[in-house]
Amino acid sequence: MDIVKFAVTRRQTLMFLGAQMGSSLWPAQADESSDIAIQPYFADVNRALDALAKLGAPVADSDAQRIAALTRQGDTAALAATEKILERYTVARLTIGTDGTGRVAFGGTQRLLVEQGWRMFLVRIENRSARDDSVLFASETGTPGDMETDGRPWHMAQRAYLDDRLYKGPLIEKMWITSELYDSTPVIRWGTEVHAIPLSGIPVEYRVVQIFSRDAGRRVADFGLYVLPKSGVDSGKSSHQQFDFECLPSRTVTLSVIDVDGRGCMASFIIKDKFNRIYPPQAMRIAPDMYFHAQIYRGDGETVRLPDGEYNIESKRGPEYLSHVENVIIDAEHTRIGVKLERWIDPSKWGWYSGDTHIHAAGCAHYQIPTEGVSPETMIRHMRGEALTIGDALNWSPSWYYQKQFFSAHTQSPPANLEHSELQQANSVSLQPTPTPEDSESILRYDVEVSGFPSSHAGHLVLLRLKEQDYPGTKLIEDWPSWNLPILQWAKSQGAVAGYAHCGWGMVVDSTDLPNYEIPPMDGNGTQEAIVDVTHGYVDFLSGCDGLAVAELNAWYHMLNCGFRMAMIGETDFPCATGERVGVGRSYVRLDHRPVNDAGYEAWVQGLKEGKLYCGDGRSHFLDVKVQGRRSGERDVALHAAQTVTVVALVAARLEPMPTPDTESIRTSPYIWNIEKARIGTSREVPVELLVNGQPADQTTLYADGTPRTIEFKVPVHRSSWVALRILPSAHTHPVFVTVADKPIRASKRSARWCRTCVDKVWEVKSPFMREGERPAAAEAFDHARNVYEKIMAECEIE
Amino acid sequence: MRRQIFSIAILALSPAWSGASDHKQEVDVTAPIRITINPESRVSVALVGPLPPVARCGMATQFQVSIVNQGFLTAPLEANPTGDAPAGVTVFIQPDPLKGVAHETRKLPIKLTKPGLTDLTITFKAHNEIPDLGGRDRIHLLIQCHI
Repeated sequence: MDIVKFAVTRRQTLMFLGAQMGSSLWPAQADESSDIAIQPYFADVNRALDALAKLGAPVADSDAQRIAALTRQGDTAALAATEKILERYTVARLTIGTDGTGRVAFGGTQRLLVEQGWRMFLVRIENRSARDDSVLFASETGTPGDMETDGRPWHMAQRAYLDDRLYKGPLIEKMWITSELYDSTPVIRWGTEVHAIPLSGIPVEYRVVQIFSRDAGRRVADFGLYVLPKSGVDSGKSSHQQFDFECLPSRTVTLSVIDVDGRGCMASFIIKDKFNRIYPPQAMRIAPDMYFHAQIYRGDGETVRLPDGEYNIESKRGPEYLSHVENVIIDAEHTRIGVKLERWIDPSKWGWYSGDTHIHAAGCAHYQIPTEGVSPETMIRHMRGEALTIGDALNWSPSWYYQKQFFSAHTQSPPANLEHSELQQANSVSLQPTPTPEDSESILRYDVEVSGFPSSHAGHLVLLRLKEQDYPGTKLIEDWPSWNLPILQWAKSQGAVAGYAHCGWGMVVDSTDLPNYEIPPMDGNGTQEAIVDVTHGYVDFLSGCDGLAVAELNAWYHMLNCGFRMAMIGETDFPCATGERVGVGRSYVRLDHRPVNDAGYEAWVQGLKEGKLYCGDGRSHFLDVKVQGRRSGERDVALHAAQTVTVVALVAARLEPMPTPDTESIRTSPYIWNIEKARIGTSREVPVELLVNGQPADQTTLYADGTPRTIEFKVPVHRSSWVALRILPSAHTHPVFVTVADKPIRASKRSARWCRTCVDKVWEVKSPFMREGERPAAAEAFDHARNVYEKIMAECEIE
Repeated sequence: MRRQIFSIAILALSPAWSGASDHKQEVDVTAPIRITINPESRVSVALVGPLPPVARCGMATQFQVSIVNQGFLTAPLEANPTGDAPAGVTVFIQPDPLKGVAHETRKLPIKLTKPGLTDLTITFKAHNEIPDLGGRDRIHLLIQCHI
């Protein structure tokens, strides 16, 4: 998101005062629509509406629907009708004359601001002569950040100026407002970079201006319009207008957040007013509130600032809780919001504890300014708000050298304090972090994703439980190996648990069968080299639930069919694969006790490695699965000869009672696991499938109202096999392994052949990226994998 | 034969990993459209230069696209008109896979058939990869063709 920084000093402003013109001399020309090209006009209008929505200030639903219909109508009458609607959202009408003279007039919206909040308005720009200037429109009240003295940029030596010695209090008192044009472009003017809007050349276009008020009450501010010719020689012309605003007061509202057992805890809140505007405004959030989230995370006793009014408060706490929407009034008598959370399932009652092993505190959607990502104090707040027990914040190439400071080879569960309190203070955040009794139930550990490194072409490694985060002999990312096996060997030598991230990337084929035998293109950063490394014994898991299920599971099934035992674990890759929240994809590990501190994390990760887990979206749960009385991660079921085995499972899943527009939009999105994609028609049922060696062996339907139900299958096992359950794409168990006559699993010659062919494909696509000096060792490792798969192929009894 | 293909590929691509820190030197600064593929294969795009003169209606205008590939991605790049795409607009991008090297340049031919201003939104993504978050995967072009 580009944000306008209006860096024009007061002296520079005075240089252009001579061109100031009163806006009242130029009446609006909304009816002159006949010369406006229809398609570009509506394309521009819809972009402006999208921007408003993205900033948490959408136009009313009825207006959005009307404009959508008018867009389809696409004629002059539709344009005129649209102009009338948009006028209600327009704060200023800017007119650019044929000579580049700008004029400012009032728009038709109520000029309401809110104390300590941002409001978004449309700005209408009329440019009948198709000029290609850039325009700058902003409040001319200075801000504390603009209080630099003239000339300072041209002096190298540190020197105090007269202005520096002055008491700034009276100046700051006047700095009650600031504004920003959304989606602007940097332009060099007056020797500095200003963020302006390049005119597109169409007669009428709309942009979004965001206006922040520090104060409450009636306030007045000057706004300036600067027209900056493209040539860059002419300094341009300006116009000014005084705008009066009514600034609604806000209040400190305290949240009471109570868990099902009566303890205070952290939860997620989406706060919207009756116009669907989101609070606090997303546009200017800094950590711990994320600009790319609608929600904020607050604990019991913490606060949020809201103006008087009516709000819808949506509270939730991850997929194990029910979402609750409450309409509240905020005024002098009502400054407290009470939320009593309600769970539909608590897997910990059956010994299952959740974790997300792939979250990032920097990179992708995170900002780089004012800090390179966020701190553990922010990440732990988000984890607690999603009721996530374990979180692995993975350091990776973006902000690697900054975020490395948070790696300690130990777990942490810090207070959810504000990072960089001076920035929070500057942003007038009133939040005072307050501990809750449940804080210690979330554990954060920093580890590494090998992404953006020389070996990343071969698949991204997730390295958990590291003692050291720098590969031996390296100082820079560029020094690391250019293929993965040496990194896995180093990681495992220090006791790490290691595997491949977003395992479906590069593994997508045309077939939607599972398993299928098409050879993937290996053109991404998923499972790829895992197919080789597993034959060397260095792959503990593939990590998925954040991509296409077929692409993620197919290679896993084939490798299991070859007798390799690795886990499929759940991850979010937050905020890259999705920025929705942490814990979108997750693993549940079975433990005797709730994991706390280093020992708890050790036990949880060890459980992953040993296969005491199921993975998914947290909306389906395999609470107890036994094959011939044996759970996954326990000893194999050992049969002397082929026989029928009994599979008994306690399973719970929860769908919304009926499909809704929101649930339907989930179903049409191809990526990310979600139980809505498993819904059978419009029913409230999902299929539970029994797998033997990756092939569906039986199926039943489960009523997904959240109630745990027992299901039972009987299935013949003819040879050594793996047996698992799935609700696709919502949850998948780890296999229970069944041996017959003490033989290893050699379930499918076709699976072994698929893996063998994939080794060649990975070499074909990935070896060119390996350093020449490392390629001989890699070639040897790949040859080993070829030999292993050929041997397994020969050992398989069936095709 | 396969060995020959490998040899050619190795010659062409060997510097790829080492070029990660040299993107600035290699980027085609004359291309008006710049695509950045981050290490997680997210595609973002920006207009960074003046657009080429437009062609006659019915003829394609070639837009140069420079690609900074930090993800070693070798999937095909896709470009599609988004939203209510104007009638008679054709957007095409080379379908062959990216080379995975730190920088390469592609052509993006756009053909208009109707005269008059056309506002076109084009979204880019890598084949079978998750789109970018936050709408950074699209550009807006205001173009017109001549009769």
